[in-house]
Amino acid sequence: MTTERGSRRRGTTRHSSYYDLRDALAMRGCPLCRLIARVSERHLDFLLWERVMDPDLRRELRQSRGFCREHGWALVRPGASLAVAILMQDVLQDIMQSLDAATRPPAVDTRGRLVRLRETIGTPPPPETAEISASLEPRADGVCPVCAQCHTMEAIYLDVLLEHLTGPDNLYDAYVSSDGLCLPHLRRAVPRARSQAALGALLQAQRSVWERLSRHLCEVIRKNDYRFQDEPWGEEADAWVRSVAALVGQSFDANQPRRATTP
Amino acid sequence: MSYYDLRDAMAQSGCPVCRLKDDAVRRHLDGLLWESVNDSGVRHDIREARGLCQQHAWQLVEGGSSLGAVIIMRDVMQTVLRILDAARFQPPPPSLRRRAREMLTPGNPAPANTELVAQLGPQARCPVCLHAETTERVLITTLIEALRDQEDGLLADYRASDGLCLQHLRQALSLAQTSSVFDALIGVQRDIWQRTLQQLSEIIRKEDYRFRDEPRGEETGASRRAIAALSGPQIVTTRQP
Repeated sequence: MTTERGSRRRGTTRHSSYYDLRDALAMRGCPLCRLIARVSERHLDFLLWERVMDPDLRRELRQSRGFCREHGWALVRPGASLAVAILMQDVLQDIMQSLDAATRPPAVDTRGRLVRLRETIGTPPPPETAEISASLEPRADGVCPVCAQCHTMEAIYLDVLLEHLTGPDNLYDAYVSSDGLCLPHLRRAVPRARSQAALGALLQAQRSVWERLSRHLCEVIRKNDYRFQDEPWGEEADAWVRSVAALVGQSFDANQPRRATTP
Repeated sequence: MSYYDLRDAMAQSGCPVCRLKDDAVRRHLDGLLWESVNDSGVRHDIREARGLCQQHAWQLVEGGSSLGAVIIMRDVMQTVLRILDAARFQPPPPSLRRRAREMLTPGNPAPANTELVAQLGPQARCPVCLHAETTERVLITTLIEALRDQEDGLLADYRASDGLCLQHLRQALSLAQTSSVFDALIGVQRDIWQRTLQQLSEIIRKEDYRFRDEPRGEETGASRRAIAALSGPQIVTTRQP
């Protein structure tokens, strides 16, 4: 996805990520959420159809104790039952082994005399629950493999976006007329801005997008007033959904068109 | 009350704590929309959290639009816009260490604009998450107490259920203060997951061309049960664009 497409104009090189971004900006919703949804879909397909028997993937999954909630449920798709069953069986087996290992009594009793005396005269204390609980946690560096891929691609897309908000053939106008980045992606874009110009362009464009959205929200509120409720709904009709997407991001089907709904 | 809720939830599919937590969240969101939109304390908490978390924000509007949700979202959006209005560029601190880091990991540069990022970030936790966690703690404590009770306990119901998910098992284990509760949790959960493992093996076996004509039995849905056990319940929100 990051390979150059070979379009060189005025000394700049365009990566395919640039075109991905340009296309995503022309569609509804946060372009990064849309692109990352696509990355996640493709990566899940890749894992399910190509890597189920890859020992590295299986080790990563055992370390992360399976997938995160979002990507775990994204595994459920037609034709994936065998692959999912194999992956889940492996992780569950590993967890059971951890439970067995953590609850097995030590071969040599290393506890102090006082502890043993207390056990003989009173209720035995539970085994080291903290240790057992820890054995069920994801191991060090254990991150959902799909999340890891999404983070890598997200960084690439954000850098390309920041690079192309200024200069010739920039994406600034496309950004202003789009739904802009959602707040979580804006937060991740801001620390990657390497110049005043890039940050200024990003914030200026984002401000325009959100001011428009804020006006639409005011219009929704106004039209809920009994005096204006007979006025027809305009482009503000789905602002209530867009405002949620703008503040928290969205995990949507990348190819699904959005339908305007009247509140 | 949570004892009977837990008993009823154990008779249904999935982790009982997840199910009851989800019910509590839905009731809380209803209360937020219909009772608390103009409560200044609630609005302050939501502004500080920079809105609800992704899951709860989408749940807030899953029943359709409401004036309450629009008012809440506009409030947060205005807060964020005010932060953008005051934003100034802040380069990453110049240091040899930073340059070395950027050279070694070009895809992961040193962060710039740290103050702005901090202001745009949540200053408090999502209030609905906080409510959900409180509910979760009460439910797990009730479960632990009920497992301690030999006569009116929930051991039989727990054994017949789909068990706890991995996350809630971890929480329950950290609260188990006696050997009997600990043994009940580990013993029952091991049996339930062993059953799921066998069902997964059965799915794998029946994918083999030699056995693929055998009728499907109780292993149907075991993959979903395994995902729910490991990753938590599926989030169903109908309003996502």
